[in-house]
Amino acid sequence: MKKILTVLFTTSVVLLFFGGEAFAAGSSSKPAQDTRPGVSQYNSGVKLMQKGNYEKAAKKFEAALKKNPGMAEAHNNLGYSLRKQGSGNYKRALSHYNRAIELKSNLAEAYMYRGVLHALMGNENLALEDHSKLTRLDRRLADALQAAIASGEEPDGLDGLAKAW
Amino acid sequence: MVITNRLVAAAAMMLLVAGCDLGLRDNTAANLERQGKEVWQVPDGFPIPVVPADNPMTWEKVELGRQLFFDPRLSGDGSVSCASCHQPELAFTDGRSQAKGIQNHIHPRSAMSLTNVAYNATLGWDNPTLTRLEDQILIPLYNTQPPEMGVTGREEEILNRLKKDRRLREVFRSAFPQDKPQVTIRNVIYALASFERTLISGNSPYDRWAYGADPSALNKDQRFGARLFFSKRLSCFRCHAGFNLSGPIKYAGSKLPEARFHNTALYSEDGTGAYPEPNTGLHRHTGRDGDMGKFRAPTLRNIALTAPYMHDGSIATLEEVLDHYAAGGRSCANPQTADPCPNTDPLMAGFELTPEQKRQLIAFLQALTDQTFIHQALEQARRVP
Repeated sequence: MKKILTVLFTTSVVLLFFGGEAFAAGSSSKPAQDTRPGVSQYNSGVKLMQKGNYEKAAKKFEAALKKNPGMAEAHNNLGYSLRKQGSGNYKRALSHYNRAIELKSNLAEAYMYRGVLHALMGNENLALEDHSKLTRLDRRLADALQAAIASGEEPDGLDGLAKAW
Repeated sequence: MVITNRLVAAAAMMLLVAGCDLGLRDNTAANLERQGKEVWQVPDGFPIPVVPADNPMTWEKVELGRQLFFDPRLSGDGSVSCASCHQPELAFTDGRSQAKGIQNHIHPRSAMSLTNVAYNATLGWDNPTLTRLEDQILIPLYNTQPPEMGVTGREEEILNRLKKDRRLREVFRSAFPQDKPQVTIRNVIYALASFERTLISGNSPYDRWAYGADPSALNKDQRFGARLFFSKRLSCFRCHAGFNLSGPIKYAGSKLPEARFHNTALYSEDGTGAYPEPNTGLHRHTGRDGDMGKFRAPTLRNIALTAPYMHDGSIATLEEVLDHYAAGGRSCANPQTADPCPNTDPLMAGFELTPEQKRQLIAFLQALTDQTFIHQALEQARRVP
């Protein structure tokens, strides 16, 4: 799971560093840096999260959201950072996943992580609902989530597996 | 296998020559997908399989392929059909350790299930380069070592048999209206491939639980078995992966995955990991020592119907398969040399199962049986004129 997060976060970091528009246009091999508010805090949070420093990472994501409350990726990563700090934070984590999906209804990663959280909270039917949505957004992440729901565990190293699948 | 590869290449050349006028109108990905959706009944949550641009799905081709699949006239001596080794009631396997071709020729390996074959990234037990059904079908038709369907050298005889059947000629005409002639080996193969792509299983109790919003579809034992199967401790799902519970798959819009093969410690002939000839797995294609004994992980869908197990059918029951994996493989159990299984997959680390857990895991594997799929397959066999 850690690795899958790394890959997903890397994707998010790239999007935030360089901005989606330049990529979409395909006009530049080296697009300009993303200057939207909260991006630098978000990227700091990602680095901390990749090191497993979830408490500090959560603070960075909260700071990013103060500057840019509409940053769905920050809500998603805040949800993860909170969840990794223990089950006492599950409800707060869930609210941030919900917000991330409200803001960006096609954010596949948020469905996967919320699905994992639902499974860990024992809400199997809600987890399967997220899985169902994810089959239409990202087939391989859906398969990764399916393994998590079926086992009731958070599998290790799913990024490699998801890619291999 | 060099022979088989040559055979495939030669036959592929024949097909290229024969298949110049394909009568295709629109090969865009969107159109192929649209056509596929019309022909397939892809279960909820399942992706659309990949369709080669030169063999789009049509009802007519699928129907022709279905009829040919069950037709023994397709073999050299008219004694066996595709369905002889791929029997619908056994999830398109034959219940044998080693498949049997014409004149009782025994194949070195077990007939693989055709369940969800359309999704397989590679085909066959161990070939990393065999990726298209249109190419794979050449092997049972043309293989001479041993003969399977015995088509080699008897193509004209077989085609004449088919051409004599007025009704079948009509089906060929509907399937390949642009072609002249229509009854060709190339068209036989393309129709068979189209039919096989429709063999999609996704309505097992597990699917109804995972995709069908039916929490009661799995009973308590099956649900606990699923927990074990997908657990980090057992890690069965790492090789039998994803929605197809198999080795690497491909589907419309997916990237082509890296081929993966596994040595599951079945043999160590010389005490250093050798597998008995000719079943050396990936090694027989690459010649690399490190590829000794590596085979593709087949789908576990309908696995309860496909005994005996492993590439050579050397394990009779699912219970014994679990014993094999729990022990970390049978070839490493009593080492006579320092490293008896150098190529064994690291996941073959062994695990402990209580009798109850074993029963639950078996219950889960049985919950992968799709009775609707089997019923439909039997109906297809019955509708053969």
